Amino acid sequence: MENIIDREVAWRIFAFEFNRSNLYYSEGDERAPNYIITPTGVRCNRLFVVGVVTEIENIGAENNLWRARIADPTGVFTVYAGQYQPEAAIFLSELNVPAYVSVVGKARKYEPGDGSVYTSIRPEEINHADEKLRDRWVLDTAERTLERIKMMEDALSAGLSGNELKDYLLKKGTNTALADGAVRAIGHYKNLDRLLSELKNSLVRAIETVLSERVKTGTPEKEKKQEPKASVAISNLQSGASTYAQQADATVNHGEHNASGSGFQKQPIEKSEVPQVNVAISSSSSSESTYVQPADERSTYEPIDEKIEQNITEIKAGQETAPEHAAEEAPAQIEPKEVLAGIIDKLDTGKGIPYAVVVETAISAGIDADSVEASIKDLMDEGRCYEPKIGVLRKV
Amino acid sequence: MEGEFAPHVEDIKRALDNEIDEGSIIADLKKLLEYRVPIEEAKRSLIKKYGGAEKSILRKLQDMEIGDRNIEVNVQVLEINKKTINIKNVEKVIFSGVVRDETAARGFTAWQDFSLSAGDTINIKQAYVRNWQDRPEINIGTKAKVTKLNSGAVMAQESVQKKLSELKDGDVSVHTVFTILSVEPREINIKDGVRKILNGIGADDNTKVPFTAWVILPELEAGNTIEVKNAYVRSFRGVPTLHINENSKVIKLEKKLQYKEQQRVMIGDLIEKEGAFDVVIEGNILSIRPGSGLISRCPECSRVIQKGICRVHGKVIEKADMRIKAIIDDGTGALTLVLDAGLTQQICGFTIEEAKEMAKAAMSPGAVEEEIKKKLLGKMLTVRGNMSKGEFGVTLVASKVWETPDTTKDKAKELLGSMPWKT
Repeated sequence: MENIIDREVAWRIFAFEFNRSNLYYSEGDERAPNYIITPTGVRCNRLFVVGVVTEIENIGAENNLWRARIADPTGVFTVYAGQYQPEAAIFLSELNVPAYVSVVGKARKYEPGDGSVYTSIRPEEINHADEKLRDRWVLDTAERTLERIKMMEDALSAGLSGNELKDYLLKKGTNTALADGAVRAIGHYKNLDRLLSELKNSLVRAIETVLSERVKTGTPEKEKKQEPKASVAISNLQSGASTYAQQADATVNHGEHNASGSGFQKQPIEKSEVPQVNVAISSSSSSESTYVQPADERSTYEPIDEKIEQNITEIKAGQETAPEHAAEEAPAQIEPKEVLAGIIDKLDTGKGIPYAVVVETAISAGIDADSVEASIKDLMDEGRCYEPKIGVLRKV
Repeated sequence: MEGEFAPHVEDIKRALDNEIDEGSIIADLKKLLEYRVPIEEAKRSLIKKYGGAEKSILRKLQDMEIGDRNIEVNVQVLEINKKTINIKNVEKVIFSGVVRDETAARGFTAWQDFSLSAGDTINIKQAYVRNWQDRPEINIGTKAKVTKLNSGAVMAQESVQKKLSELKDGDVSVHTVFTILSVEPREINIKDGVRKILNGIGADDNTKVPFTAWVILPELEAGNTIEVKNAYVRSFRGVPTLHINENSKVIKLEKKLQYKEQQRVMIGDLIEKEGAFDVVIEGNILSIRPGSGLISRCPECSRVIQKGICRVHGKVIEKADMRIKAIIDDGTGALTLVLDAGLTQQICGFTIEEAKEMAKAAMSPGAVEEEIKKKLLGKMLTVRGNMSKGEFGVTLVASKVWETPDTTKDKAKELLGSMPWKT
């Protein structure tokens, strides 16, 4: 039946494999879906991940681009949620790390131009998860990955390429999408043998974490003993995010947030999760060198951030301010509005000043991004400044 | 000029049984000739336009395609029902049912009374094929000619024995073996009044299939393992259903086929089929679709309605209902899962009344959908139900749902066992 619009399956892929994917593929025109081809031949448009959020960072100029690192037993996924993923962005801004989450999203890539490719996830849905769900995800992902590795090894040993290889795989009962992906992967990835055997080893370790964790967290006493040590281990992870967490707390206010009542149940759940998460972190960091160390990876992401930040600034500069926040904003002790009035007054030499500059200056003066937006809105409402053209502010 | 193509007009009229007004034929013919279309082509296209043809094309039901016109088939009537329909406030009696030849069984609609009854073997000329719920359906219109044939004209072919999992809509001369899990009598209204039939569920070693028997046979008793020959398959609500009628042979077997209660089916394999009965899947809920949560239905027809206005029954007193439409995905495939109010309550923990309170408190019916999202997104569920395909994609309507039991430890060990490279 032709009238069925097939939904893209959400692939189960470990971070180890996802982060080593650097082949990109699109079916022609602009609106066609984009795919990342992974080393095991997944033509990946959508994926599903359950892992531990270890770090959340607001990297947008105006509180609107959030980056989260989500760890699985083999590596770390990077998730970006911006203005077009408002629900995910709000979710992340309210989250205390570490926390189990499940994410379904689209595979994205960024190429800085030096030949390297970075992959990330743009979330469609994100929600709280628990240890049981994460373990189950690890096993499902291992099982699916193992099937694909076997298919790839078979494909490699067939010694074919192109359409001949595709026909060979289809005859073996491989589905069309995977057969196509496998042909592309084999044509692209060098040292695929080695990559697959590394992946095989990481599968074993991933499954072992599921088994070993159970033993370690079996008795509550052990959990207690581990807690202090573990909290040290994660303290540096938390330090980065804590300021944002506070900020986020401040922005949790009325309206729709209250309607989503059960979200507040997360607090006790997360507390009980903490010790188990720590085991996961410490066990992965103590393992072999094939793991990508968070520190290394972090630096490689820097270029993306800059680029995205730039884009966001551009985007922001080109759009009107969101009016919703104004009414909800609680009055601060020193009115941020007055600080902003001062900033605009000082910076405006008569030609107007870019919105982004005002925001940047205000944030560096210690006003949080939400208040900045609200205050500018207030000033405009009061007729003390105006927007002669979009993205530019002028005093009156 | 008129006289010039009078003979051609006569030809066309003859082909169309003189049913079409001569004036419009001449006008159309003139127009085509002005475009310098060769006269033969002009004649052919006009005859086609008015639904006639020099000669019907003989087709096997298997080869019939939606959009075919003017075909001729030799078929046997398997089922026929009388229906009264309402076209522009005029009541009209039509007949619909199932016909078969040696290649396939297909639905049909006769737009007038050809005094057919089940079991008749007939030749139909000038029939056409339309799309009815995504399936080709033979239409026997007023222009069609129906002639009764000898009953032997459509021969049943001996066919190879099939597993229940191989049955597809339209299969005829089906030969299969299964155990009857349950069976119960039912009364249905057909053309000549009330008729007793049997509805049941059959199973072989790995597949369950619903069946309908148009004959009451002593062999059709729960627990019996039977061999059925010359049955046919029609889909009901997207699920292939085996039909046993007067022409079918049913033999009770001494051996028993043991049906193993369904293990989980991978969604990727499931969506390759055209429909499936009572299957079990396991997967993560990846999206809650619009139209989940509190909905209103028309009390007359149960259609989902907005603002108390039904598109058929106008303003009605709406009936509150609750459901979930979600995407479930196991990494091999995805499909739309539908949970009714009872299952929604079971898995989310609130009743329709509580959902109403929730919506009232938040002053938005969307609050219930939000709550469902919070509860279910990402979660792993095991679901049992029937899978069907339709214009909205692949759908599984759940009959049971439960949280997937935690077997991670065993599964982890099993998986490790399948990895010989581990050190």
